[in-house]
Amino acid sequence: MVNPLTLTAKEIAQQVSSGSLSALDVVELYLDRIRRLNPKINAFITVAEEQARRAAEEVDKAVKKGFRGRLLGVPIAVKDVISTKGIETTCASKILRGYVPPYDATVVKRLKAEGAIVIGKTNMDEFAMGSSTELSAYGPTRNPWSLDRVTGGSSGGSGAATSARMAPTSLGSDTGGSVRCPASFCGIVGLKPTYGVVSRYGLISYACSLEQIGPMTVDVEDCALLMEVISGRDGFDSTLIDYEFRWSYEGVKGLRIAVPKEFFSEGTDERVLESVWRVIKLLESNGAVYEEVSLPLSRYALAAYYIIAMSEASSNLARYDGIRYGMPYDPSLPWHEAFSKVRGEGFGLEVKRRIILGTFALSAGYYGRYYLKALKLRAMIRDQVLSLLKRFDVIATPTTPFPPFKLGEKIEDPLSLYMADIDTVVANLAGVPAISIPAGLVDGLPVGAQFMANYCREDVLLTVAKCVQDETHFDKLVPGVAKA
Amino acid sequence: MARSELTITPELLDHLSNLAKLKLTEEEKRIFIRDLNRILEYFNVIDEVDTSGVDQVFHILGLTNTMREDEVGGEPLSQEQALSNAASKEEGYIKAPRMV
Amino acid sequence: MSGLQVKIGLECHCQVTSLKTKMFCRCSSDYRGKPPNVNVCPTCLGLPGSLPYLNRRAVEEALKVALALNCKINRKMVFYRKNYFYPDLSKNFQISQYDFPLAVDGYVTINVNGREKTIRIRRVHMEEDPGRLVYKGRIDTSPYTLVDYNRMGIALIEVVTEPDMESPAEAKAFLEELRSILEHLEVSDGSLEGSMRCDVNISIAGGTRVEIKNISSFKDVEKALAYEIMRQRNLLRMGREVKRETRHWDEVRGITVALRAKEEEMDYRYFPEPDLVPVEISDDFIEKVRSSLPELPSARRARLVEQYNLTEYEARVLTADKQLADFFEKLASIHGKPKVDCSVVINELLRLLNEKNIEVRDLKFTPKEVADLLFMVDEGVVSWKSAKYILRRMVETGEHPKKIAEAEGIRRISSVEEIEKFVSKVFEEHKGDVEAAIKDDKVIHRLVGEVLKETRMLADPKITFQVVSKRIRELRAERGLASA
Repeated sequence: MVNPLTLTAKEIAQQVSSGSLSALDVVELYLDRIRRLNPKINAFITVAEEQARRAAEEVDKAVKKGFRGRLLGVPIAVKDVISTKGIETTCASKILRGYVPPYDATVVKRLKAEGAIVIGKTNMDEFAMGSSTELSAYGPTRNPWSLDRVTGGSSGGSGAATSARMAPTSLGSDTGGSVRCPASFCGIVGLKPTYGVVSRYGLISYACSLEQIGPMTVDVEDCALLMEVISGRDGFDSTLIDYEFRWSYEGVKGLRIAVPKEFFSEGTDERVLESVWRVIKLLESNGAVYEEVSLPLSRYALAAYYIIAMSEASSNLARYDGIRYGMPYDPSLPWHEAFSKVRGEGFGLEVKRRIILGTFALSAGYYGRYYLKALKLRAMIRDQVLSLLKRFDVIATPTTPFPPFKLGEKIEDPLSLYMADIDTVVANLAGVPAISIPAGLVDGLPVGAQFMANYCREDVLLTVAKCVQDETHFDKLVPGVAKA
Repeated sequence: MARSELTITPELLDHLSNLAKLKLTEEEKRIFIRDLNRILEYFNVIDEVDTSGVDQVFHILGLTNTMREDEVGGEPLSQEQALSNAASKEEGYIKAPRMV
Repeated sequence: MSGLQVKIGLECHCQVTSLKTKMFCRCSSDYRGKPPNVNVCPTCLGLPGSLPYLNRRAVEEALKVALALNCKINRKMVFYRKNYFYPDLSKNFQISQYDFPLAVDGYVTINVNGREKTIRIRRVHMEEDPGRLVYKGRIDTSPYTLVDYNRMGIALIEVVTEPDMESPAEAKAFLEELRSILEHLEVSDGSLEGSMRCDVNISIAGGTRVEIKNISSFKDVEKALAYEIMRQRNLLRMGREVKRETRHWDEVRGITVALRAKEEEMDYRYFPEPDLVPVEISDDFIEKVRSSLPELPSARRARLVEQYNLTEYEARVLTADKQLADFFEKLASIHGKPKVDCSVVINELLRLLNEKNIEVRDLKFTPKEVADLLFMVDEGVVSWKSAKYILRRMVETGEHPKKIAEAEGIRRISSVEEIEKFVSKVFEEHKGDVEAAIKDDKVIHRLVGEVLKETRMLADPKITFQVVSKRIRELRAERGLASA
């Protein structure tokens, strides 16, 4: 009998390929876990029970005919911001309730082509705007490590589903830390790829110049496997660069680590800092070298990030007007009133807050002072990060300045919630890849260490992660609720 | 904060919500006047940086000239698919509210 | 009052009809005459998660236009989002250009009543066409709006002039020249419905600038301007103010109407489209396109005058419509009498086209058939007068001229013997006139006319005159009279 608590995606694919497991068995196993655990955790908005079974049967049939794939029979939990043909995709918003995309996102197409099975759509902050997965029209997701704590966000559903082994792997999206923050809070691995290496076609935009889809996994090699499958040009996303993912693990000997002091200042929880330092020292004991450095412009990263993200969002979210999809408009009103009403009622408070601020930052008289200035600042921050990465292979920081906080704790104060992204947004601004890996537990709650690398050097990040996984066995960390 | 110091006044908020086609409740307006000005105050930290002479970024990695050939293809939708998510339709058209 | 100075500027939106696909997706650009919403994909329908991908040929076509309009080409071209809500825009923003447009600072030379004038071009940029709205009856009373997105995303080239035109006639001349340039470039076929549309700015000395939006054909521009000048002059004459406003051209009623709605408070919040990357245009590429430009109307006019000995006026009439000029040149190459051929095309054929309100391309015959008809005239088989009638029948039926002549018994009667029979009959029936003619030469013409009438105008008038004259001379001789 297989043990879902230790099973990796790679192993599932091997067993389905060899015939020792059927895809349907795997799907039933995880559907059963979802049935038992999801009511407590609320990681899924939609469980694609029927579609997953049908897909598994197709895979099993194909396997008999000789079909092989790198993710044969592997269930994947997909964040509800990624379009899935025939499966409702809501972005955790009332305004998209009932929307069933007539097309698959490129990443979904690629996963399916390798035999993977979409098992469900995971909860998130509405339109990926949030850092706790509390801001969902479908209720908050609870942290499997402590059900009264948040999962982080915005890909909290994917983080919780993977951490509680309701799916062996998942996909999130990361605009300012939305993969890495929940990975950190849920004790798993989360990778935000280099900007422009994973197609965004089908990813419902929040801030298109910043975001990438990324894998969220228990196991580092699974993370690499997903990257291998989902990356590369597709002919639908014109912001993609030439890229081929390659990675082989050869240890961290000689790896140069930059430790920027701004990320280790007093604003960050000391226990988090201790955990991150433990990881850095562990890498050092394996042959890496580190140096404390400075990244002074990081002080402005959060403001620049939010200005750019909100501005783009105000335009990206204009299309939700009730005509073509989603919440219906009120036909008794003229068009502009009908639009205002459906948008006023369909969007949640935080989404509206960001649309209004983004509209402001782009409006006549303020564009230069806010939006354009933020774009220029972004260029300066990128240049500072890249110059650091000329001398170092990776930059190490905490993933978040604090461990998972209590549900409701920061919900009244948007600024304090925005602070959760303070360590992660730099990678999005600079476009560089970044990974969060488990750095241990603080009072029984997971915290993460973040590493950034140069463009297209996801391989270096996976090497760091692999070294830490081999030393600490963080992949064996399972929250209590998931063991039941 | 005294009203005279507000960047986002109730009048500006009305203008913005009209531009963004977002009908706000009185409660939401009250919350936004409070929050948005605080957030802007935080954003104003960027004033400390001199960005003169810096070029704005487009694609962050500097990618240019991604174009495709002029050949029909892609993922065309049937009329049924195109209309499948519309709340209201008539004879193949998507129904929208009246203009006036 | 008519002395008040008028300033007119134009914004012309021209569809790139030479493309196979839309501007940002691979849907067909051939949207006319299809059922609604069948020519769409996730991108042009603005589905969540869809992305634009730029059509390379669209850029090349726009570059041709910019070069033909003598513009400076920007080496870096960037697409911007123009943010405004309207039900015909599937994303509630339009991908257009703002800073970094394709080209700026060009000019076009026009000719009005023999006077040459230069109209400056402010900019040439690219943007996408919105969808089409259909109303039940009138826009202001329709209980709802129907939307067809088949047209959404068609590539448009926008040409913006400086306010250099001083009369509706100059505006018309500019638009005709622009249309002809686009047709000679084979970029845009102006004869397709809605392929060329216009916004106009107009101000009269003492008034303010008024914009008239959305004039759906170039032909209506002159009418709209004439109406608007009259309206503004009347206001000024009455000592009233001309409001700075945007007006709508109501083509059914032939008037401009103010757009009242408050919703028109516009702030487009332009910002660079993050889903597209800048286009860098190299000198080599510009030279390549420049060297491949076909003959443009101005050069063609000069050549037509030189090669066929046409007048400046004739050349201008021909080149105002590329198809007409093409028709002429083909005809002249077959028939070989350019002055006659030109006259046939611009006097006879063009009049018929205007009368029937059709385009050259709608003709069901080629220049070859017209040449055949003219050969029939040359050979004396039909009269010039009959030829005009046959040409009309050709336009109506598309039949070959010989077939029409045969079926309707049209031929030229030029045999003296045959004409003499008709003359005898007329002399029998008009004895009084014959007597008069014997006394007075002038009356001979009346008799000739009667004979021609008797032959249904088929007889050669010259020969008929000779036969009648001869008979009269004989009668005089019989009576011993000398010539009158």
